[in-house]
Amino acid sequence: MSENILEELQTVFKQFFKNDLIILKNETVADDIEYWDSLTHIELINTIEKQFNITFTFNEVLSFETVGEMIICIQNHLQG
Amino acid sequence: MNSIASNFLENCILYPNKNALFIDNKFFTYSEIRKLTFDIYLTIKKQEEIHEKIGIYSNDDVLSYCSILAISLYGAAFVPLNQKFPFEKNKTIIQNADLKLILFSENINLDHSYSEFNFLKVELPINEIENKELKFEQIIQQPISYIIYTSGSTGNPKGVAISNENIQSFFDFFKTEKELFDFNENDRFIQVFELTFDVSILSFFMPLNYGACCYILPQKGVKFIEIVKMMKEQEITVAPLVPTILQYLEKYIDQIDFPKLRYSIFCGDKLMNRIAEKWHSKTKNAQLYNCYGPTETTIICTYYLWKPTINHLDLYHDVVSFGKNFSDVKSLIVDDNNRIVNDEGELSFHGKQIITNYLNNTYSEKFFKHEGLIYYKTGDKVRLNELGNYLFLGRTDNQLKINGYRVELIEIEETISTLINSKFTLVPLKKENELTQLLLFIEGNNENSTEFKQSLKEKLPAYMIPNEIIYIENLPLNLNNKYDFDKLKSYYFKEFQAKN
Repeated sequence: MSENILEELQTVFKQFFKNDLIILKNETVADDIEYWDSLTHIELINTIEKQFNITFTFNEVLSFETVGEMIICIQNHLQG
Repeated sequence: MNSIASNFLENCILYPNKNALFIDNKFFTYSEIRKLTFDIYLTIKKQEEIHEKIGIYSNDDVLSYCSILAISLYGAAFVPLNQKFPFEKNKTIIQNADLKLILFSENINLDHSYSEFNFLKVELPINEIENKELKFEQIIQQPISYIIYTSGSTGNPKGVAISNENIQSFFDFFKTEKELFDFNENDRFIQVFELTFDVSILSFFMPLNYGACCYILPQKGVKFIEIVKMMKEQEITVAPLVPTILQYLEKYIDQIDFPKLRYSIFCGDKLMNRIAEKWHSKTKNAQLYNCYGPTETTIICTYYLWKPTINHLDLYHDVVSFGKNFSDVKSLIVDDNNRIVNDEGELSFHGKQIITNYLNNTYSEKFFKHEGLIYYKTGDKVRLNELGNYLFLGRTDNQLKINGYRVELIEIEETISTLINSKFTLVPLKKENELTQLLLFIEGNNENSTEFKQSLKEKLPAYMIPNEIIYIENLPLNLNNKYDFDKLKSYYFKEFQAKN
């Protein structure tokens, strides 16, 4: 399941940052992706929430250090 | 000794074992910082030449912060350079400030482009330095404390040289006005600004002046997330911030709580009352200040203590007043011809905190004389309300605030015009969350867009790079034969965003 989420997230990131060259890995962090900063972060989170039809708590948003941690969180939400 | 770092030395004696800095997840006591600073001071002192101005190619590590202290205690002015700035911008600063020595920490891999300048690596000392040997003697008496470069309306950055007298007057205000700002040695300040942004001087030196601890925000990840984490984990008590952070946090503000916070000090951009109310409800024990001051006025020179019972007279379209002048600061509201006006006009300042010209005496229309005193014109249009508080009405020129940074459109336009031959225009766009974005419209097609974007990154710092670059067949003109911003914005929303 986490691989599917990674794939779906990669599509979201490519569209959001208008960059087809983005390759997401579990260990990817904000510093690895150009323009992933304060300005884009909230909109990115909103886009991810819409894509997966979930709502993150702020503590969850604070805890995302890597894409892998984001995936675990999405997985937990999807499993209810 | 007359230096911005004099109080730090006194506190090293008073509080040797108290924490002074928290950086890279490690605490450093006053005694440890003093030793590291002394080691760098000796490195500077050993140089053949005496230097009046010394650059710091900053890295937000302990060596960079100790370099600032060492330069100040040596008696020279420090000039911060920014690793994130493109080479061209740093080069302009190095040349304009005539820097013959630039310190950089051992943690930086210096780009070979800088080899034409005299860079000196500072390293952590290998041997323990004994306390009794730490004697700082001012080698020169440079009246300038630091030089910070701001975006210039002529297209080139301007050097703002803040004197020891300017900065002393700034700190004196806080010491005198204890009823307003009662900082003490138990405070925990957060430092979130890049060293090329002058509020960093407040966040770094203010705690050292009081024997308190300064927590340096790590320069990684998503900045506002890191700020919240550090404020929570380290129970920060004093937070100088740009109001933009509140706009980022708005969605989650109900889930935040900072009971230990004693002071929120906002400056650098407009504070919206609607968001101030929400922030206050989560920082119940904190005094919330809205402050104001261009770099030329030494960090901030006005203050407004926000209360939930705010008088509607202190609001202008929901923007909170920035209050009254610091006690040693005089102000005038003037028209285009520098004549005093009674209602709306350009805010101008004079006083011990205010500079009277730019570095190298560069002529500027920003300064004028009134009754023998030199005033600095801020470019901000204001009105004084019935309660004696300033209301911000807008800019008198094309200057923008992006994430707290002053941005002159002409500086960006000049760079773009060296890269492309097509017609273009920059359009500032205020988004729903009040954040400003910059759109660049270029007439023609986008066949060289990748190279163009790359060149922009090499010439401009990130905050000056347009958020969107839009190619359009014909740039529409309005009745005055100027580019029609309304039509361009409408094109952006209806056609460009829909396609992309």
